[in-house]
Amino acid sequence: MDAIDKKMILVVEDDVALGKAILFKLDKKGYSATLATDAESALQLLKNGARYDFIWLDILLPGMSGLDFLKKIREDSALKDERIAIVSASGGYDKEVIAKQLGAVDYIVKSQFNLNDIIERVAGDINKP
Amino acid sequence: MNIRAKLAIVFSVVTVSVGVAVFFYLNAYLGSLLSDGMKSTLRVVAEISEGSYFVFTEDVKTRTIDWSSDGYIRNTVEKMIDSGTPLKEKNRLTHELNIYLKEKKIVHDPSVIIMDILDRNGFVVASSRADRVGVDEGKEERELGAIRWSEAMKAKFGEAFISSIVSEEDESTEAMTHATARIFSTTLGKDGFPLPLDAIVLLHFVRSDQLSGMLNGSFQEEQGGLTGVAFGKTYTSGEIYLVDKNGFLLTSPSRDKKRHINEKVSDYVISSCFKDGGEINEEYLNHDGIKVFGASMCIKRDNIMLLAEVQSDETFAPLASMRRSAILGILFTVAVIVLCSILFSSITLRPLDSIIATAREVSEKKYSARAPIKSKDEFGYLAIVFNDMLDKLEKAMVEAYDKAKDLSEKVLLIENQNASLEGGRKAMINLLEDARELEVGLQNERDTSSAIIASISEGLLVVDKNDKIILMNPVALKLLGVTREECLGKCPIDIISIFKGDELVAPEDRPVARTLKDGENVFIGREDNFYFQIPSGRKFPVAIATSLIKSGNLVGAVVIFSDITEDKLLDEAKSSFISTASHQLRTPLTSIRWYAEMLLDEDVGALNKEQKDFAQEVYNGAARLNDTINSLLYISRIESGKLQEELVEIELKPFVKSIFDELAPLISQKKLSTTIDIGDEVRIVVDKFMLHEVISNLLSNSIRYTNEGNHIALGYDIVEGEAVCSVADNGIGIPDNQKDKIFGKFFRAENAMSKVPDGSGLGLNLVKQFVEKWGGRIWFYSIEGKGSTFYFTIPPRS
Repeated sequence: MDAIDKKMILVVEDDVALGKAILFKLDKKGYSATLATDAESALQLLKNGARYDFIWLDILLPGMSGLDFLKKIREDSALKDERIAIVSASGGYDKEVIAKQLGAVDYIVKSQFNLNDIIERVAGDINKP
Repeated sequence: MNIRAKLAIVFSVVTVSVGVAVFFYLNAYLGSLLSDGMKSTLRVVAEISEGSYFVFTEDVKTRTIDWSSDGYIRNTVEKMIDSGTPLKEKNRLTHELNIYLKEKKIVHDPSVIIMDILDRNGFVVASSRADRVGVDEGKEERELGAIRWSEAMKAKFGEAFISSIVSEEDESTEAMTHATARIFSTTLGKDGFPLPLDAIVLLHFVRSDQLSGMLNGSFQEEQGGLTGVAFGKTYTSGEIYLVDKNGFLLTSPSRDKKRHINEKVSDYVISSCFKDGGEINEEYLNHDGIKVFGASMCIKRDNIMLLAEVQSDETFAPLASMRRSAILGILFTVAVIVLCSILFSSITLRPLDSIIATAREVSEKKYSARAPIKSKDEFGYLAIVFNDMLDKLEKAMVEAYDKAKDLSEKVLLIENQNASLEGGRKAMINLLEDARELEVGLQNERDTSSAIIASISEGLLVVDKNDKIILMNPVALKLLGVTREECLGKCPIDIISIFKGDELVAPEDRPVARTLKDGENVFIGREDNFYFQIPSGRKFPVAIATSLIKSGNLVGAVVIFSDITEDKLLDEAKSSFISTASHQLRTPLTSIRWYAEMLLDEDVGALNKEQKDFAQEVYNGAARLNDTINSLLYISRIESGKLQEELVEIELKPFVKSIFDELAPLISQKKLSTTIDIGDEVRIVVDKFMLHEVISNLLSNSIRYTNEGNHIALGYDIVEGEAVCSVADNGIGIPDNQKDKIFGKFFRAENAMSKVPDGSGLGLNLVKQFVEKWGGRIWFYSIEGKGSTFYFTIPPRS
């Protein structure tokens, strides 16, 4: 596969082990994944002009929460169209609602799924129009 | 007392007084008249009797003189007392004289019982009783004052002396009178008169009968005198008698023949005569103690007293009869007077009676009555005037009656009006009383309510139907930071801004507005995320409950609210704890799982069987832990109320089927048979996630706690309007003594534990929580060793 065809995914996940596993799997799947361990760094990356096809966003993050990050992104006209899926450890319908309101493509609870399943789902989300 | 009686009394009193006065006057006058009369009569009688006495005595005197003049006696006596006469001669002469006296003299007069000749010493020298010669009569004179011979001794010729009447019992039983006379010689003296001798003749006369007869008139009668007789005839108690100076009767009273001579009579009378020398003529008590009128004639010469007496009773007899007559007369007069006065007054006062009768009639409302005019006197005039007055009265009464009739009609009218007013008034009073009672009751309720309101620990606010605040409790004031004065009458919206999250809640969406408009009770809980912003600017999260107040008509709404900042913080702390915990638990767990998974997937190299097995164990353990944590987190979320239902309508059968499919590996592994007994067309509104968890858990329990070849059946039915699901198996069942704990957290029944050592014990708890969260019920039937059937309901939702 061409490097240019690889989809760019930003993974915002504070747990390093999990992040590593996710990156490993995404990479195996053929995506180009970048890890940000907190929302600020992710924001910085975006502000610096990095653009991604998909953002894997955890909610419970140190500092700014995932939802706030999402909000910020949406407020930024430049970034509002970024496709983002929330993949969080915890579920919570209220969060899901907010996330959906903020235009999250999906809301996945980590603990309910195997990693493979999650990867599949995300892949599906990425490929959705 | 009426006039008649008064009149009668007056007249009788007057009459009686007059009568009594007259009576007493007459009594006194007549009395004195009688007594005076009697006195004078007696005086006269006494005097006359004295006269008679004197006559009598004169008679005696004459006899005495006469016999003293007897020549023979004279000569003989002369010779006898001559001292020259020899004694023998004297004796012879004495003897002859005695015989002479006895035979020749006293025979001629039977009243002379003794004739004595006394010498100058008083010795009897000759006597008709010869044995008396020598008796000392002089002694008698001295002792009794009897004879008065001493006087006779000095007497002149023709003088005779009578002595008092004495009683000499030795001489006679009767009272005697002595008479003496001097004997004179036959020889004449120089003066021509006979010469006196010193001898006297003493005659003893017994003539008391005669005397008393004389006194009492019988002598006079013989002699022809009438006075004494008349006296005796006139006065039955009249007595004339003689008494000597010692008080002895000398004559017997003619009436009282029992009285005899020598009886003593009253001393008073005697003393008045012989001592005082006075004669009495008065009323006194006689010797018998009887009141008598008496007149006395004191004949001192003879030492005798003459008494003429008449008993006072007899004297005053006329008086007594007069008294009787007078009394009768008075009584009669009084009676007559009384009768007359009564009669008179009756007659006179009759007109008055008729006037009185008329007045009575008039007072009994017979105004036409009039008094008859019967007489021309004052009563007649009174009747005329009275009638006149009655005319006027009648007229006035008629007028008054008419007026009264008029008035009473008016009064009746007013009374009727009054009655109805009164009725109205009473009704009002009743109402007032009821209102008052109510007020009191209300006041009590108010007081109770106020107490309650003041004491509740949440803010309470009441608005009227126009959303104006009418009540706030102290907590409300405190929470809102306002005073009552600022709030009463204002709308809550003027004081509180309500936010949901950051959004201002529109006025019509505010809880009170909704309540007032729709009548619904609104509950805003923690999860609704409402905030109050108060005048001070402070914003705080609130829980609100509003309710309608109605009593017949809409009265208003009551709002109870509380500052849930702390609760929210708590909540947030809890949820952040939960989320943190969950996150902190889950993240590493996820890590384990994913890496185990990657190992198993041989993403980093092939594994031998043992390695694969080991990795599998790691994965299983992580998966179980994951389930446990998930369940715990669900439970905690439900319990802290953070789990919200998301309702969708599903077709039940396919839904259930998919769950079975998920569990298919485990089912086939145990070679279990299954049944799904659900109608194809059944659709229910549920929270998919929760229903999934419930069915999934129950099914997994059934799978785990049955033996190979057992059966699991899932059913659905409508029972009494309720949707009931059942999951039945014929597995190990639940022991009876563990049934009550079966829904407890981490509880594992003994038989379950031995069958499946590693179970979390949370499954049924979670199921129960979910079912109850959606408002259903869960129960079971189980027999140890035979199987269990779990039921739960799904209430209809919209």
